[in-house]
Amino acid sequence: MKHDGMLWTMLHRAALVALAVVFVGPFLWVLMTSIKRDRESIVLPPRVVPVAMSPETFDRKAEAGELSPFVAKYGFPPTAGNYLRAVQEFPFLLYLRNTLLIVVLSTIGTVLSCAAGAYAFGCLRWPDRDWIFAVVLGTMLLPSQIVVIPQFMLFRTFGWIDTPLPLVVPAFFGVAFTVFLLRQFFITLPRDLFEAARIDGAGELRILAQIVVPLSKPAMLAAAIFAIMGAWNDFFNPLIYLSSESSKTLAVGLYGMVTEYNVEWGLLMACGTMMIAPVVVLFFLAQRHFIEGIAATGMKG
Amino acid sequence: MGTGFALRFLALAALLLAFVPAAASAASKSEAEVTLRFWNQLGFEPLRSSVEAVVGDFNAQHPRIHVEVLHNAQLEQKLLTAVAGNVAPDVAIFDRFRISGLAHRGALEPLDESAARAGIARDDFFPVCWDECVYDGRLYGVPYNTDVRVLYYNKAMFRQVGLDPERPPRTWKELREYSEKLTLRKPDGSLERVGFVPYLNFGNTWLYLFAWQKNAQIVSPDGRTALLDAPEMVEALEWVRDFVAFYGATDLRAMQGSIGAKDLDPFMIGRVAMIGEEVFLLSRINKYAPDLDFGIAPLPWPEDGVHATWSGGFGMIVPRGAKHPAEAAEFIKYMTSAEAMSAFGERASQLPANRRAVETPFYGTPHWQAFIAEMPHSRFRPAIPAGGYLWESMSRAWDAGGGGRVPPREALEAAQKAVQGELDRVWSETERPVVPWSWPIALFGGIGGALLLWRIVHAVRRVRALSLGRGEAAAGYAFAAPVIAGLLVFTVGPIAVSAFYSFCSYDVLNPPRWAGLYNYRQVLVEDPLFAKTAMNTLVYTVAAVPSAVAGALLLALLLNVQMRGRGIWRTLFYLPSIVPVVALSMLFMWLFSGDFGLFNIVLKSVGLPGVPWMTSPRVAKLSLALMNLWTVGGGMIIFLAALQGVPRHLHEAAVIDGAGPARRFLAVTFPMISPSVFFLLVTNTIGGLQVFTQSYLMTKGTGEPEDSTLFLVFQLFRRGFVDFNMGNAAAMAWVIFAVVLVATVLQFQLARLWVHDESR
Repeated sequence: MKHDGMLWTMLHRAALVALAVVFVGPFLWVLMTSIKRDRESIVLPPRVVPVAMSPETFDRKAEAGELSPFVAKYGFPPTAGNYLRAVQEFPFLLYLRNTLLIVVLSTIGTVLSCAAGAYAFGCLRWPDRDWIFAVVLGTMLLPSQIVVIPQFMLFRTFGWIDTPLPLVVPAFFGVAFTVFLLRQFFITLPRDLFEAARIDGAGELRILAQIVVPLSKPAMLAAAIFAIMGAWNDFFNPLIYLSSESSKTLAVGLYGMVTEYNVEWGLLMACGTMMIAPVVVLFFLAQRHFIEGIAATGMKG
Repeated sequence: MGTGFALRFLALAALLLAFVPAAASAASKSEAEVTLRFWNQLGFEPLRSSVEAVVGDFNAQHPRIHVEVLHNAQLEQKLLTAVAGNVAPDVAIFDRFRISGLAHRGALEPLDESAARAGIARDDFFPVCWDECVYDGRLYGVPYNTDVRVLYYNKAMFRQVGLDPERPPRTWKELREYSEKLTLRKPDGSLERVGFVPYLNFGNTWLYLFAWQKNAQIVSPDGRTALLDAPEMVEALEWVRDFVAFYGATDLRAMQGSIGAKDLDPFMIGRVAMIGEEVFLLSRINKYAPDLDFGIAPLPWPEDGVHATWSGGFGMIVPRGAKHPAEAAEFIKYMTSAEAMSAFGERASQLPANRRAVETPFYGTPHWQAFIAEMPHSRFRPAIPAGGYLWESMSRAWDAGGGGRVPPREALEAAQKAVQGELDRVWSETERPVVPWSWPIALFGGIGGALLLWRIVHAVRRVRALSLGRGEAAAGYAFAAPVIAGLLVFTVGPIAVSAFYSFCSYDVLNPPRWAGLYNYRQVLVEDPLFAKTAMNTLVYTVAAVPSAVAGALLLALLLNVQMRGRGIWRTLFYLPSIVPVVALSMLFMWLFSGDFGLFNIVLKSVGLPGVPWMTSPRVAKLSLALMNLWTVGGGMIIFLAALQGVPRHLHEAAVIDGAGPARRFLAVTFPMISPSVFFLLVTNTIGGLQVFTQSYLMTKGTGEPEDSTLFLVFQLFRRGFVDFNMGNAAAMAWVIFAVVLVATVLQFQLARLWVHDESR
């Protein structure tokens, strides 16, 4: 294969470039729609060249025929109008606040309860450990739909409907997947460390907080990232539990916008972009942990 | 980077949380004594702002009461949840058609007394609107706005084909004759222009309308007997089928596809010469096609039938347990008064349900008068507790019978059977025994308690016998306690309760009643929609899962080479996977949209025809599978990790043996990564069988076109949280669980044949 290595490399790079266009192109298209006025989104051929002038200037020049033929056909004046509308007309900030509240609390809950659980299942010896852990793992295979209805009834009994509590409180009682993820990291830690700490008189809580957690930073980060993403993206649960406008999360609020403003693509894409942007930023800041975390889920356990 | 990153993120988010103002609570609270929470289902323009304007007037005139408007387009689904959760609004504008269903469940306050006290009288309203709000002899709502279906016809086209533009068709026979004259075909045989079309999205007529015109009843007056297979119904549907056959159902579908989005009205753009439509078309014509030369006439009825048309609309309701009934009645009185109704109607171009409100000059034009003249002939959809089933069953009969796939009689007989079954269940419900809550609690509590006791004794013994560190064992239980408690409270308990519900008839608002195997029989045998949703789910899974795993593997193989910038490529391919599914669905609604969506623009630019991505019942599921391909990044990363683990020496040995790249992949690489392939197949299949969010969002909760994107979990959601038929939904959940279990076990069995296991 050496002799045609050059050709092979070129084909390979060409395939990568083509795929990159497929994977990233829609983002650019959406981004572009979000900074267009709607009438420039629904014309053919599509207007794809942003022109650095205000919409008013653009319209005046177009009217007067002062634009070059190319710009008149393909150009559009970028505008922040859709983003301003999204923030002003819709309770976007309210949705953001509701979402962040749930994200922060459920992430804290998940990390705390799962770290404790993983420590118990991975590093401590106690009689019922193994079969309980097996049951915890087994629940991962259970479709959530089975428990959705009784959970709804349970939270109703507590009077928690239309509050963030049903979306936050369960996180403090462990998430099977995260318990598993953390346990897989914790069992790789040498047991001697714990024994030494115990001889020094450290309690289990101190061992967990001062030895296990600091040594498992990548796993803890991966767990936190999964929790953040899960809460940020969740649609089904907020849809069921949050009924009033003032308690909606971004995901549900965005759905409401889709049903009410079904053809205002610029506005919808601006809202969509604002929902995607934070996770993209989070991803770039913590890319390595994302990748490691996901690769870890595929390991045999 | 990395250290304490999550902590910093959380701190930042908490900070934001403190500073982002609460938009809603920032709204100035007046000095009012009573605040009414008012949910408005008319959340789209121009109705939204028109309602707001009238509410503003009310607030200005009533210093004692402050009304807070919340627009809620998903009110239908939300209202029962809110009533069930005791967080219902004080008053709401709600789809009138649904009022009797809510009333049957006891979700609404009867309004007879408060309406009488406030002076809200039937005489002031169109009777058809008022009577739709009455259930079982009691008033549960006050009508707000209304629509009424009429025939719009294009006078210019009438002249063109030699018809008298002042003499619209009056009978079904004439309607058909006129239509034949008005129809034009292109040279290739496809439809250029049609006359009247009683089918598909050409106008807003339906089986209800044609049945009423035949004087069919649909449901007996007492609401207990469905009459869907009555001879008049069959004749009505046969008339539709023959009418459709004149054009050809396929040709009509093709034409509908070429017209595209529903916001381009086929009548306005001159593709349809006559159309049965509601009031709103008038305002659209006035706005977008002011030069259109058209007339409005009553919808033609059959020679042996009756003058009938169809009205729907909204009404104001007070949910059960609302805290300010007197103030709510005062508000309703104001909102539905002649003055406020005219103000709203004129601003929004809507027909008020209050007939004193249409006496203003605005409603004096011939067009408005044509609508108003039809109101005495108008009817409303039968309000029965099994409303959801009636709608679904009639829709299926309509699709199959009207399009000529199934003889109308057969289609209607099937519908009759389904609806009558559900009606019988609903009406016999009161005879079923109520299951006291103490039973399941005592049962599960007793078993649970006994098990717990036994485990504690057992554990103490084991700790002693094995001389485990007693402190360590105690710590084990303590640290695992939250997870164990969560397991019991949020999983094991709910599983038991869900199993129990699946044998009950339960609507959340009333105590559960024992129903035996009824729900399972309903799901598996009697509900034809279940078979359809199961098939949809299967097709989607078969299309989406293998392609996603193969796509992920392909990407991973492309990236599993030594080159510069590998991380950047990996990032690019992974990026779509982090997009929240709600945003992803919204993005793809736009990318998939008819003429201006990216995909069709690209296809057309290379000379290919556009694809009806989400509008064709055959394509829509595959479009969702295609969309799923965009998010294979997670799988790619798992494969990359697995490929790194393939030992180099195996490859080198294969090269020495003279194996080519393809053979090396099959003989060395694939077996080594087969556990990852298996893992992704299993997890993706479980996910695929539970697909919900994308189709729910992209079809706005409808499952269109023709229920083709209605998946199992989607249907479960509708049964459970829209119909609030929790017993049915629980049975469905167990059926879905069985399907997932079988699929998983099957894959594990098959895995023995192809997954490489190092331990063997």
